[in-house]
Amino acid sequence: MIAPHPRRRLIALAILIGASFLGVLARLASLQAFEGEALARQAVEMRRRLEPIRAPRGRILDRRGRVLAADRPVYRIALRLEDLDPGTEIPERVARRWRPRRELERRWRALEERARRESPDLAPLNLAAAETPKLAARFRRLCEEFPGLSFDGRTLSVSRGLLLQRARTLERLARAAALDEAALGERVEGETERALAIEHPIDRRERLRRPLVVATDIPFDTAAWIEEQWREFPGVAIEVALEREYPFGSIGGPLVGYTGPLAPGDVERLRREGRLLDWAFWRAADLAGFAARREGARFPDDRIGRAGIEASYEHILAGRPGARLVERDRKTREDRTIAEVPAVPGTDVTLAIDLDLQRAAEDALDRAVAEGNGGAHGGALVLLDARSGEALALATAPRYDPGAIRRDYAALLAARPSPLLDRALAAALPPGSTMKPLVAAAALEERIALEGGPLSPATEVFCRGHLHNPRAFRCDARSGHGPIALEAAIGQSCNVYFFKVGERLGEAGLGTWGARFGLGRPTEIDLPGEAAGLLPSGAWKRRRLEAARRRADREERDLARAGADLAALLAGGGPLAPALTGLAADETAARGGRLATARARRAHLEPEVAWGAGDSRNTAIGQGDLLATPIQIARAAAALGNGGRLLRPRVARRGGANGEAPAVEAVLPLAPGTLAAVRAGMWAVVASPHGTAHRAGLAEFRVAGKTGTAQAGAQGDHAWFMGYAPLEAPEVAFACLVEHVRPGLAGGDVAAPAIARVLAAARGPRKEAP
Amino acid sequence: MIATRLAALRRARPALPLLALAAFAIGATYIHSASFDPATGASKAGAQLVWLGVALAGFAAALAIPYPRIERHAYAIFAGALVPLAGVFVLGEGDTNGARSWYRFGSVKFQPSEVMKIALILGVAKLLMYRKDLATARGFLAPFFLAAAPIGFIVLQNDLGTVLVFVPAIFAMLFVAGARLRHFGAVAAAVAAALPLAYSFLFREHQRKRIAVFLDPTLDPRGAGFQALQSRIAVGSGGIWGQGWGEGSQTQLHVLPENDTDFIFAVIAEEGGFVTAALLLVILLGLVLACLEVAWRSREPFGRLVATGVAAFFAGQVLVNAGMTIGLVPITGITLPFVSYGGSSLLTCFVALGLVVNVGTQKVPELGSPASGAGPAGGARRDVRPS
Repeated sequence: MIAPHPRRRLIALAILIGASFLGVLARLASLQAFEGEALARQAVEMRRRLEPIRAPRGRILDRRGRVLAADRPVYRIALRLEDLDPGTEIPERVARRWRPRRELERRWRALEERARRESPDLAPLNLAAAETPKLAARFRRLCEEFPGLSFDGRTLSVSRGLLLQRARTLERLARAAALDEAALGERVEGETERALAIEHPIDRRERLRRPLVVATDIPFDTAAWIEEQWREFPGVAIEVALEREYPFGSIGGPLVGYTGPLAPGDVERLRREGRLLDWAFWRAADLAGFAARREGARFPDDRIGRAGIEASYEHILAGRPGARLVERDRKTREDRTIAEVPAVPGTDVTLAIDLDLQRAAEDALDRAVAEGNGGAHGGALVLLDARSGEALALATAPRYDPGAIRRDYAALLAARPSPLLDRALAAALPPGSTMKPLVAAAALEERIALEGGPLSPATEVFCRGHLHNPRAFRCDARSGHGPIALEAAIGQSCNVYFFKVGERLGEAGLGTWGARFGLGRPTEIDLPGEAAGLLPSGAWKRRRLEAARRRADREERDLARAGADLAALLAGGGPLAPALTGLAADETAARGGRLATARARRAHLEPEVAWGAGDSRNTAIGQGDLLATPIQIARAAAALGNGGRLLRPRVARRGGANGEAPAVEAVLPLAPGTLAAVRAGMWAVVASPHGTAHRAGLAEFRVAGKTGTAQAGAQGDHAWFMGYAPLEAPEVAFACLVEHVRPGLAGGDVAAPAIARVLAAARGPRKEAP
Repeated sequence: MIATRLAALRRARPALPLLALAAFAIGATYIHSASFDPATGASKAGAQLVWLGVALAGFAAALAIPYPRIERHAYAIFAGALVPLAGVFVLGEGDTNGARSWYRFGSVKFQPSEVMKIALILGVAKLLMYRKDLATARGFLAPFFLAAAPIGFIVLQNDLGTVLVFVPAIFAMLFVAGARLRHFGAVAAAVAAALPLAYSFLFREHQRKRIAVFLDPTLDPRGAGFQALQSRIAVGSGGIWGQGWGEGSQTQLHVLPENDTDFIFAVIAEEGGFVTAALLLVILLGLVLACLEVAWRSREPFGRLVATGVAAFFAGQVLVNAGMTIGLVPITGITLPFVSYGGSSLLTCFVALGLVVNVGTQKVPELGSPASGAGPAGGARRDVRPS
């Protein structure tokens, strides 16, 4: 085969390469000559930036539309260094490619100094000389951009007005907003220094553009005036920030809750998800990317709900931030909005709470607490709509003002009794005799055998003031009630009657019916921080004992091991031995103390491993290990009043509408006869001359109720009152708790009158809510 | 000896170095613009001038040695260049993105793959001259066996761009040496078939991403597609006349990374516009064609092949570098010959250019007359092959 001529191949190769170059040239021409304009526009985009728009948080309203929480606009003064003082930009623009920037900055500063010393009317000062035609052209362009610059073909001069622009603006601003001019000047000077020290041009420019807030919460008039006179204030912007306001202060405070800053963990999570709207985000974001990610996005200084409704309805209240794409006009230095994703304001949450009732409930509760324990302990008052489960009032004492939480948080955290605890949901205490109507209903339904036959409302039990032993299981009436049936047993709160009933119901009956009435688990009300309470059982007792045993064993092991370790350490001797011996003695004593406590608890629990008759008796009168919250007791009362529907209480009205069906958790198997018998007993409490609350004046409101005076150790009994009204067609159910009342006071003396006052304030049992 | 060399040098054509210097001048001008530091008033243009001095020394050296002597030692040079290329795995440094690929002497970085570009051209030229079996598949594949080791090393060093220059150079030399066209066809078909496999098995994650983003830069406008988009914006906003030296907004804001090395063409296109960029391309094309002209005039296969290889190496690098700034080729770390900032690249280009000029000094015998002994080192003996 004859090889091809290399010269022909070379020509072919040259043609191939030439064609490839032509291709590149063609593409270059198409990019530069035809797409050039569009691509130049994209280059302009580098001058664009996204500006955040904050979404106002939704308001919290009471059922009549009164505003409990809302965002209030707060006016701030923000400076943009770049516009405040052209001196931050002109030296760099002049310097570009000609002299070191630093040198021109120094020169500018010197000119500034001179302008300050000399009369402002003197001739402009020379900044730079045009050494080349190219520089002259650039200087001419700069003069068009900055009105204070002039160029005579040889030198670039700066008017003294331009040199003094920043100082004059700051002076005017200080006067207008009553700020300290010296401090303001120093701050601006320092920030400018720091910004100019940044090497990277993009970072430097960004720093100079970042708004610097110098005053916050300025009066509206001042803000409006500065806005109006904007030409006098180049580089000064009025920003509107939103601040949460609680117009009614502490009324319903813990219920409304408060907002707080993002936790460090939240910040980390948001940053990982790319939803933290910080400076880095805005620098990298484009409008479309922002729109896709704004759901759940937060500014670093956002405040989110930390308690109450603010926390539980955070997702509804928060809204979604927006952004606008802004381009700065080179000539006029004004911003122009190119495109915008509007913010979506948060949705309002309307509460079922009636502010008038809430106020009445809080006043009544505060008075009851003052009378009951002088404010040394807390209390709670819950008022529910017995038909729907809506909370009409949720009072707790003591309380806080959410508007003052930022200022007072440390004090609130330290205060005792704690104002931060919403006792209506979070105070799990022995309910005392308010348990009795529930036990009565359970016993009637279970038809327990008592005194020779199935229990009926007529079944009589003989009370001689105590059960078997005069020192244990006593009745409040020392001399006894004599023969007593259900109505009077509730009305006069006979313990002996309920000891016997409880014993018969036993662990199973009490456990089943306690759970049916919603004890021992949260009501799932739409508020955070609810306590579950405790409905004791044999299994629970065994678990408790096991835990106590493990605890004691662990303490014992730890003590032995620590002893051995110390002995080994001390055996070594050395100069530290005396000091160590002292420490060891302290340590051993502390451990010994903990061990003794653990052992005592174990010893206390060990004899009563199994569920005994005593447990049943104690549970039946709301003592022993039983714990319940006011909201749980109020809901049980509502169930007794409304024919046995156990409702899921709630504070917010979904969608603000009236017509929504109540959330019924369960319908209890309670016969009308049972409910009537219990109701008769609860009516006797307020209406019978022997009734435990007959002095409270509740009969006029047709209240069916039950007092409770729960023993709670040396600090004093808890006073309770629960029930519903009116008797015939209950509209409201309630529970009132006053913690640790003074000796001699009982539920009927403290808690029942509080309910009476609330009902009086509400003009009797409430008519249809608006 | 020196006298004959000087006599030979008189035959050297000045077009090649003049074109190269013109390209360098344009490059240095815009390197100054791209790397100017307004805070200190310094730029890299001064350093580039120092590099030019070094490169010109390399050029002179490549010109001074009679090239038949280079031919005699071509394999030794090739083997010698392999040593630093392999040694870089042990003694070299690398960036965060890839394996070690350069040496550092104080503040000077040296990339052994640059030397390999020349060594490989020499080795392949030696291999292909007077090859009897060029018409067979084995003969066609022989240079690739030779290149297997350096290409393997360079792939391991994650420097795919350099491989992208090697391969076209080898093909160009095979083509001019007279390999059969159907072998080229077969290779093209095989490459087309193997590309998807290589994409999934051979390429690393960041290389795959670059290719995906090349096909659609908007996939990741702030990440991998950033350079491609920004470079396109820079080129486009230059328009026909450019934004002016030192006035390009993309350049001066340093939106493009490495805008004085890999993206210098974008800088030139933005600030100098189409007129300057096209002028530069024409100069570089002229340089390539001038190299091919040397090959065309050469009566001797080694020189012809070396000139061809160097021309292909220049052309490949220009096309890939300019192509990537305007979105025709995926982004690879390849410099623009004679233009980009950097010592290794400049030195390599001028040494390669020196070789071509060297080949050009060979005495061209009059057509039809028997080759005289005036040619250096037995050129006449070898030229009896019918061509």
